[in-house]
Amino acid sequence: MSIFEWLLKIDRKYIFLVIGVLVLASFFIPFKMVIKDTVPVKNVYDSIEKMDENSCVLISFDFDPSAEPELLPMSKAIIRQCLRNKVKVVAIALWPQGVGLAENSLTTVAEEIGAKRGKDWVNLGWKVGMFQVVLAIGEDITKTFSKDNAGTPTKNMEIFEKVKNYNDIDLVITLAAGNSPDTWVTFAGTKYKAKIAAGVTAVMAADYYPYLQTKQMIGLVNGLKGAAEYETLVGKPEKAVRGMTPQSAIHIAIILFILLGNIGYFLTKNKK
Amino acid sequence: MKRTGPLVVCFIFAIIMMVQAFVPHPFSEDFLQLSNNHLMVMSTFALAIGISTFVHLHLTKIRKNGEGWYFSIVALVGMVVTATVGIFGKTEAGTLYDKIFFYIQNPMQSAMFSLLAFFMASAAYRAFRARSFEATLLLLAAIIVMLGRVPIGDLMTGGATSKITEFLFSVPNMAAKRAIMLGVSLGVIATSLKIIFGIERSWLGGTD
Amino acid sequence: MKATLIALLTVFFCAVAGTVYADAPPKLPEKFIAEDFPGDKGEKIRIMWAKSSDDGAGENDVKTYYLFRSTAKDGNYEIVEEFTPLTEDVKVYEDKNLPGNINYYYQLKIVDAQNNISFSEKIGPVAANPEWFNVNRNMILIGMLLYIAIVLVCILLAKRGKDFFVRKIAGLDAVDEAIGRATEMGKPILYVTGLGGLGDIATLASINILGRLAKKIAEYETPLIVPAYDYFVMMVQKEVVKEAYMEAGRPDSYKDDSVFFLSDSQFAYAAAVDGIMVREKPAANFYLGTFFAESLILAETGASTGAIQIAGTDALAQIPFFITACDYTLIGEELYAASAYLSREPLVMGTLKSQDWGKLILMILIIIGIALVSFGIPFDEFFRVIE
Repeated sequence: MSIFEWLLKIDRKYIFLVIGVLVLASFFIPFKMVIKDTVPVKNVYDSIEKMDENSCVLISFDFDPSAEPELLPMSKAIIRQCLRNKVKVVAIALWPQGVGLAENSLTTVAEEIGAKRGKDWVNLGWKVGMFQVVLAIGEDITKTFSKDNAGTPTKNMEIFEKVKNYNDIDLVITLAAGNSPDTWVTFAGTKYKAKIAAGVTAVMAADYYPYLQTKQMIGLVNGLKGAAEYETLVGKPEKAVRGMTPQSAIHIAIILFILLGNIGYFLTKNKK
Repeated sequence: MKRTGPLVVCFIFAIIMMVQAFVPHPFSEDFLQLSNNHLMVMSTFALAIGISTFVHLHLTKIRKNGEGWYFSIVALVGMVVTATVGIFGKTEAGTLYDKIFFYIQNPMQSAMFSLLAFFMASAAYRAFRARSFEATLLLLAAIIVMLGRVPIGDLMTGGATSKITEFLFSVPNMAAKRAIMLGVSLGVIATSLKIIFGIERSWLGGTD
Repeated sequence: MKATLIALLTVFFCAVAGTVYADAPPKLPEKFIAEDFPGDKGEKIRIMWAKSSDDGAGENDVKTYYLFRSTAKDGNYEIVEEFTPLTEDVKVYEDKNLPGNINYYYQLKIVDAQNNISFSEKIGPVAANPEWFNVNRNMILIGMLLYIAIVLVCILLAKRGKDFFVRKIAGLDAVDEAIGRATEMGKPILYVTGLGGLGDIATLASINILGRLAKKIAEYETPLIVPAYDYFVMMVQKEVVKEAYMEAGRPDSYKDDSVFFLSDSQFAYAAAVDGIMVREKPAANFYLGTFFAESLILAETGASTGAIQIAGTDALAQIPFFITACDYTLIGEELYAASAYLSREPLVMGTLKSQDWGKLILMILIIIGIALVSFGIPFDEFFRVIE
């Protein structure tokens, strides 16, 4: 096999090896990057920034630990912005394993800011059903979730004094690894006129741009890059910003592999 | 009768729910919430069915000494331990349940998702070849988007790639997506109507 | 004379100063309206007012607008909401969560920087009345009825024996080849309906295909593996496969264990399906239904085992991954067409044809829309379906 043919048929285990080594290596090489915000991310940030104190944001954790590297940093940055601006955060999960992730994000940020459970934020946990839960919140959120994740009854919670349903929720943010943004747009957005924003994994993001144009979504945080933009906007760069170095290295490596493949393709084609 | 009953129920409820979508009166909204609550209750019962088949599947595998039967023991022990800790203990941050979740389940699932990076790299290498004019366009778009989605791309091109990426996402990508979406939506409505009118019955069991 | 002149000048300057620096109360909005919110369940009243001419212009010193509400015109007014100076020319506010059928009166209080106050007139009575038809959805209703009519006409034509042309779908033509190959090799067929529930039409379409496929598989007595992500879907899949085996006259070949629940966690499910592919080495893999980020993990693992792979999904973002790693991919609506394509039943073909007519109408509307917008003719309110 000539070198050109080899370039055309590089065994995938070598590609895997290069990717693996690059990810590990890039964690040890500090490389500061300037992260510029994009319009869909800035729109989410601005809409929370414009909210009055005691406004309410509902964050739905519709993902499981597999999407944690992308979506958890995003959730922390958004919660940090809300709690810092004294905007109340109500968290729910449409995916059962989102509950633990919500708990982690909320307790970490709340401790840092000094926000109180039940007053400034609450984790309502998971309820079976997808669109059923979204519809039920449209009627009464405390009836849908009678207890929070810690087992405290929600009925007399301070956070729900002025929050009953979507009428009192200023923004719904779905952090999703699946198609829950469609559910939120269809049922909470169209039926109850709730304002919707989404944070999604990068592989899903392209699907949701049509909703941005129709303004059925006010903004979109797209993958790890989106999370890094949000962390930068909030002024606390963390995991997502750190993740930009390995991601940059991998993207460059993939581009090089594509170019190598094409070089092999053209040279073998000319030879033939 | 085995099929007629469900078909009649399906037809009646589909029509009721269709009408409900256009009637905002509290009477109609209360009905929606009532049926919604029923669905939630039914979903809860389905959990039990899921657990029973899960246990049955793995017990059978252990009993038959099938390939990798010991993994089934891990699966069953994992389920019993996690459920016991969750039911009898608390689930907030810092509890044992939370630790199981964050130190066992979390890294395992994240590792699975991270496989995508490896597969994507090898798939991209195989797929993006400039075989024709269209394939070359696709290849160029892919390279621009890959550069535009990381800060190093902007560093190399003075911010051009992220702007072109946003354009690609919000104009050509969206146009294509919307076209497919319209087709899919019509397909969804047509399939729903086939089910409502009983033209398509294989979901009831059998291919008719 | 001098004293008179000084007095006159003093009066003049005072008057001028009075004109320029007079601390007049803020001017009231020209328009202040309250109306029942149209098309709701009877819990909202919409209040609109044009901004005061002293807000952003004139004295430009409006500090706060206060909106008050009462159940009696001369009763006690309670504050509903307060607003900072307006950025929009007309403020539209929705007073929500109100009990239906109760009359309300509204009043606006405007305070300026010098704490001068102006009160508007009291407007009302207005009640949040429940409606029987959501007027905001009339375009959706028209569209829905039109499309149902097209479907019914197409079904009628199909019933009368009209032969509809359906273009070739390579992925579906390859189904027999895939089953044949698995049979020859004596290896199982893996059928994955994806991560959707019964509410997802793609999953239902996939179950329909599974039924038709299972019948053929049963005829060849090839082993079938159907791992489920959702309990409800699993129950339906079991029924469908069982019935298919019965219809094929092979009830004894049906194994209850061939359809089973794996996990409702996305990547635990992907890991388990990958495990099945690596251990059992199916000769043919079908991925038809709703898929997310796990699509490429499944398809690449399947490709590495050398299986013939046929995929189809309406999850648009996953289509490129399937195209890259699978032999055949059904794109978007082709998944819905599969059932008709495989069965060629006239009624099902009729509904398939209706999709083409639906698309044609949408294309015409889009072209009309582009033309109207290009000539500056506003039409979007007429076609507005997003409320």
